[in-house]
Amino acid sequence: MEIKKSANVGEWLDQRLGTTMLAKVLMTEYWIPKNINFLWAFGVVLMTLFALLVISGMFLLMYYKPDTALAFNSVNYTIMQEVAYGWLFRHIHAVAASVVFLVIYIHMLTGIYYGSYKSGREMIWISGMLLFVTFSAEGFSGYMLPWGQMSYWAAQVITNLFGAIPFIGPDLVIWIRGDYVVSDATLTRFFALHVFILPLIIMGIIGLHFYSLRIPHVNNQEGEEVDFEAEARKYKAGEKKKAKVIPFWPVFLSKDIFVLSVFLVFFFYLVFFHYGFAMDPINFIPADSMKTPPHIYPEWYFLWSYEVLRGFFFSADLGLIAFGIANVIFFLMPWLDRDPAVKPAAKRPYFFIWFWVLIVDLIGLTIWGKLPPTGVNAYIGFVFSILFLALFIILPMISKAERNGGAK
Amino acid sequence: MRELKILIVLIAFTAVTYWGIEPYAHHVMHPHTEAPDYAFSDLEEFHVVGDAKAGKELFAMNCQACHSLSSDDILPPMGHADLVAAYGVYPPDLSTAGDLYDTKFLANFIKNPANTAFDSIFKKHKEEELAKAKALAKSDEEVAKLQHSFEKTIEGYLAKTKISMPGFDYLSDQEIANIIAYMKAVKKETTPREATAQACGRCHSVNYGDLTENSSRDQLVGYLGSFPPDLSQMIKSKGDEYLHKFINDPQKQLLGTAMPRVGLTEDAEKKIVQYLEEVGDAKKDERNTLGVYVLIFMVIMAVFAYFFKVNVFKEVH
Repeated sequence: MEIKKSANVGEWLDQRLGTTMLAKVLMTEYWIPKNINFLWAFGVVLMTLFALLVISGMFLLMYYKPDTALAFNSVNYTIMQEVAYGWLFRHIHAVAASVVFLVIYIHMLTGIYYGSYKSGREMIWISGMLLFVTFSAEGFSGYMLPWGQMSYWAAQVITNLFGAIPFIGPDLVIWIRGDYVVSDATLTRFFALHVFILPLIIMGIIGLHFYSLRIPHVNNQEGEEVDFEAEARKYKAGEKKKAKVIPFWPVFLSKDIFVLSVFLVFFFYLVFFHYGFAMDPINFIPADSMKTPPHIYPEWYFLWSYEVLRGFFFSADLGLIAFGIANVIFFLMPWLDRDPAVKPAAKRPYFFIWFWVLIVDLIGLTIWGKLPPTGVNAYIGFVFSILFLALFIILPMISKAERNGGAK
Repeated sequence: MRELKILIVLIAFTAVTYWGIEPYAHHVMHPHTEAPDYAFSDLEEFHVVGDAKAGKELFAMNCQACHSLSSDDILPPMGHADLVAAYGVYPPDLSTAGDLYDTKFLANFIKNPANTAFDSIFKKHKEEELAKAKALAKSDEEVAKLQHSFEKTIEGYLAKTKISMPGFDYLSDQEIANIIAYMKAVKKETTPREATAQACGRCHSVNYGDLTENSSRDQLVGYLGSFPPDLSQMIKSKGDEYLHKFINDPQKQLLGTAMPRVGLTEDAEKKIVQYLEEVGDAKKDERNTLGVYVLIFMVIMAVFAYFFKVNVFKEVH
């Protein structure tokens, strides 16, 4: 290839990097269906939240000290009070870490409602679920770093769970903690996971998640099979109103930016004026291995699976098995749903009911996951846990029934 | 309109979840307790008016052996270490006592310190507990058991020595009132920081405000049984409502705690909580000011983004 003299920087780069082609592939000729609603903007919202987490995290990293003797004060005094706008970065980091799960759940449940996990879109779903799992690990490891009472006791309780794994359990717990109890060694390894290893893995999976969208394309709100090549030709020929697709930039993103801006109004309201839900008061008491807080509970986004664990209040083993199932069952959605037709839940009578019962159950589990498991609460939690498992047992049956009935 | 419906569903489910895990869960985990009682209604009333001049003499005879009063040039009887060695704890300077502590509380305290700081209020809350337990009891036998264990608990509690200062119950009500009148006459006004140092600083440190407890760790553990926590982040971990209730009556929130009721007036208590907020949440003003600017910016950006979107979509719809 002959390199010609460039008239401007853009041309110079294009000759060397193929930027014109790249912009087409990634932006102006990356086709998205037109028939979508604002729920399709939540991927970009998630990407923005992740960027906010990385940026605020880097500033926090400059002053945070991963040492049980120093961690608490480095967060609550150095960062919160001495460093200029250190409090702002901590608030952004804490609120984004909490809200990112709300958006992940909305994004996931949108995928379930519109059947966006099947008929060629399985890898989108699986890479997304991998992101959910790695974000969970990231959230859990980060929660330990301020070394407050909740950091310590949540770490104690959650790492203890691994002890129930047959044969290797007790050794595994020590291996994870790096000590017989949660201690300095635990803090430093969770620090390493939180600030380097997990973010690196997450970035890799985000790349995979985006890539997995390219072949099967983005779903739309009717589940309609769109001939992307034909529609793209129409669009490029100038029939923009008739074409069933829009380019990622500027059309799709223009709406995303609007949705994002509205979301950020809400987000920054939380950051400045309503952050208590993301920074538990108990965690402003320094970690103390001799004083167990009266109520230990995980962050809100783990409550539903935590309640599945606690729901079997009469048997720790059954609870752990159910907890294990709850954590992997969503991966299997593409195979548990036996109806291959991609349709929104509104067009699938049984699945529609299944979906809304699932939502109510998840919210019920979340709320009862925080309430003390005493008296009638234990039984309510048990009912919600059983219902959760039952939903995934009947899903193959109802979706099969729908496939057979849906042929008419 | 479909998008509006989706948005409403989204907000409704998010709101229910939030309500359940925040306000409702906190309401269940921290049941409502009564407001602070600044009248100290469980204590005895003193119906006499004190005379400050007579009080000065009484102070010299009864208080000065242990306490200093620097606002009226009365110095400590010996050095810090000697005092601690003699009494197990450092007797406070009383210059600010007239400003910080409630008159009725002080009168009761001088007469019977342990009863005022601990026993009376411990007994009151134990009685309430007993009444509740009795109401739930299923048999007379159970009621009798509850009554017996209650009496044992109270007996055991009263037998514990909780305060080094002896009771001055041989003084008349008039004499006690005179001493208090004297302390009020020479009282030193306090800033929020000084109030905290005087009322809390004998046991607690406030590291983020550079206040250190004025006894050593070993002495405090020896005197109280455990090391009292640093107060730097209390405003965040407990919140101002709880702090007011707790300072006014620690036994109500944490029955059996080693922390005494200190008898602060409502004003003094407000000063202390204000100081804890200044130290524990130093950037509050900056946060509230910047927050408004950022929100205004984001709203304007959303409006521009909306017009941009409408403009771009004109071509495709």
